[in-house]
Amino acid sequence: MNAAIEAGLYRAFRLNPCVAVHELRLRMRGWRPFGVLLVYSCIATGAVLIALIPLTLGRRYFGTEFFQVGRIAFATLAHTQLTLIMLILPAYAAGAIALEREKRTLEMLRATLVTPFDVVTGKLVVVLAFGATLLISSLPVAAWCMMLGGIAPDEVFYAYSFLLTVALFVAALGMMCSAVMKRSMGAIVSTYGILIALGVLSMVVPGILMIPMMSSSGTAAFGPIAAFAIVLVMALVTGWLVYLVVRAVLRRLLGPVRALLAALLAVLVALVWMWFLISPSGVVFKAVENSQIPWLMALNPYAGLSSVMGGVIAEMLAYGPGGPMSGRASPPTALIWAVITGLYLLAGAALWAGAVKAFGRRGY
Amino acid sequence: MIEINGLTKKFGNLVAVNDLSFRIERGDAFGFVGPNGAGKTTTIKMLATLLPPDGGSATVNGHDVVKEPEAVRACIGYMPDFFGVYDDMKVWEYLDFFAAAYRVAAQKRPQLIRDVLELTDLSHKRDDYVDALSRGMKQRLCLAKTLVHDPDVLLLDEPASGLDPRARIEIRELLQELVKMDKTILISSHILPELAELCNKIAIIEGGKLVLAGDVKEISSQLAGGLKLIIRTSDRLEEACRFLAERPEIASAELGEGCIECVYRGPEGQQHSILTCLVQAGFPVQSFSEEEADLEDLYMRLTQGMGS
Repeated sequence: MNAAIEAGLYRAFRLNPCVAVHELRLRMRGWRPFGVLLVYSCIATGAVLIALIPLTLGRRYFGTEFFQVGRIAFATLAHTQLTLIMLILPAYAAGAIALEREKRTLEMLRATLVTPFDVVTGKLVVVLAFGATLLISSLPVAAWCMMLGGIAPDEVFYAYSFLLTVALFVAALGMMCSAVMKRSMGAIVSTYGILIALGVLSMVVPGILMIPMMSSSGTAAFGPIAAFAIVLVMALVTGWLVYLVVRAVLRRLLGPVRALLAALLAVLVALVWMWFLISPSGVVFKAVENSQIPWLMALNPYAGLSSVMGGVIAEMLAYGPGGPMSGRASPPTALIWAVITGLYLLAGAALWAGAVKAFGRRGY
Repeated sequence: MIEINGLTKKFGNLVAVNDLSFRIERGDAFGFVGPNGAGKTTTIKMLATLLPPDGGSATVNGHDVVKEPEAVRACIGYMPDFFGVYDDMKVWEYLDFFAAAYRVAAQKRPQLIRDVLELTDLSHKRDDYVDALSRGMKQRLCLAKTLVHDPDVLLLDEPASGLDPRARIEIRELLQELVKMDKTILISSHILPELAELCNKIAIIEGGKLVLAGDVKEISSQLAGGLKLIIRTSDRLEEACRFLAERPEIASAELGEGCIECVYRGPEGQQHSILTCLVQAGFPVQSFSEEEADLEDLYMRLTQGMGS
């Protein structure tokens, strides 16, 4: 790295960028990053093409007018990318510190002048940069979706900025688990566990907990920040419990390699199950929709993405529980986007700070 | 340079280091000896600021390891007993990374890397991948890494463990070179003859407690009850042995394998008077030498193998 940039970063942020440079060398070398990028692009593009197949069969697409086809294509692209980001980044982030601990390279690093802030930030920035690379690689497909019509540039901006914020949140969560856990497998399993718990709980728990707390006017009793905090804490606790059970079972039953594969398979099955539950036709989605707590639903990553893209939940946020006929003033989409992405940004920053603290305490 | 006073470290009920105190001066090569589990690695880790002590204090270059960890890290080079290397990383990149971690300016790094590679005889491996190096080379590379910021103090935990004889000799020669460069070295090892060749001071530790610390020659002399001399003559060996036994400066004289082994208890630095007496008495002296400190013997006598 250029000496002036290095010195400038240190002067401005007290950040020694050596860990970031080192991580970039390690992570971007060889065929693996390009392989992941290729698979990512293929899946994202393939999902869009599959979503558009019915278009070739007739003018109408599930009762949708032709001008909305571009919108459907882009929504498919964005949701597929959200799934891929939440699948790929935890594996990258959760191993970042714990793997070094396992390989006994961390001890020598801790004896140098690098600080916990340098280590965690350097690794987080590189994971985030990889996430951003994945997202950027899909921009040509997004541009193609825009050419089909029905999508405005600001909607693309809202969707991509939301995806980037989720990437930060997921990477910071993985980094936190990596800093706390002794083994990389524990860190990876707990990261996926917390994500699954967050996805499920942000749909199920608010529905159960908040119904009695609804005021007579029919709006949620809690603000979005308090609600998000409740869901996050519950997700962390549940994810931890899930991890403890999975680890206890797998350690007794299987060797380390089989245990890792089995845990990954379990995570995949759980993700599919979560998708089934919260998909627009899913039971949970409908139940929570009926309970009319749209802000809390928007805290689910998928529901959040739908919201910033002006989906069903955004409509509920805009018009209130009564829908478009309620006559209430509608908040602009920009406000919905700002609140939801802001919450993920805050949570990501808090987890980042937590990871620095945890790493500083735990050491090598 | 390094001062330890009443250093203590506990892991649960186990007292790994118990009230340890010693001092190492600038330029000393200090051997840290003890059986497995004696507390050597724990002590070195506390000095490297990687473990906080539970009691006592330790300073390196006048900096307290607890209160000023950054200042301590800046002046030490730490080499652990077991260490991993990064995959997909070249030798020069590895050294560049650690130099940057010690905040060595970017423009100074290329020359520094060339220098440490030359010192550790790895210049020809500059562009090789680290994980492809042999164990001995990795060990030398790790030593090169500890030198990239030109530290005054080196904390080396078993630097030659697991190496074949040739690699051990290479490491030993490298360490001797570092001693000549006036580095202060704290080295723990099980390979005692190597420590005897390298170190001027030793500390023996067992069960977390210091058994003995001081100058190698003084300690072995004290334990032997004096300085051990080895004398060879071409003839009249038994007669010479009896002659020596009668001298007041000689505590004991025994016949060894083709030589006389005697313990000198006279004034320090006057051993040559024994040689003069032998020559004046007409004995055909072929060789006259002091026996090197036998660390192994010392170690076995002082430790009981509690930790092994």
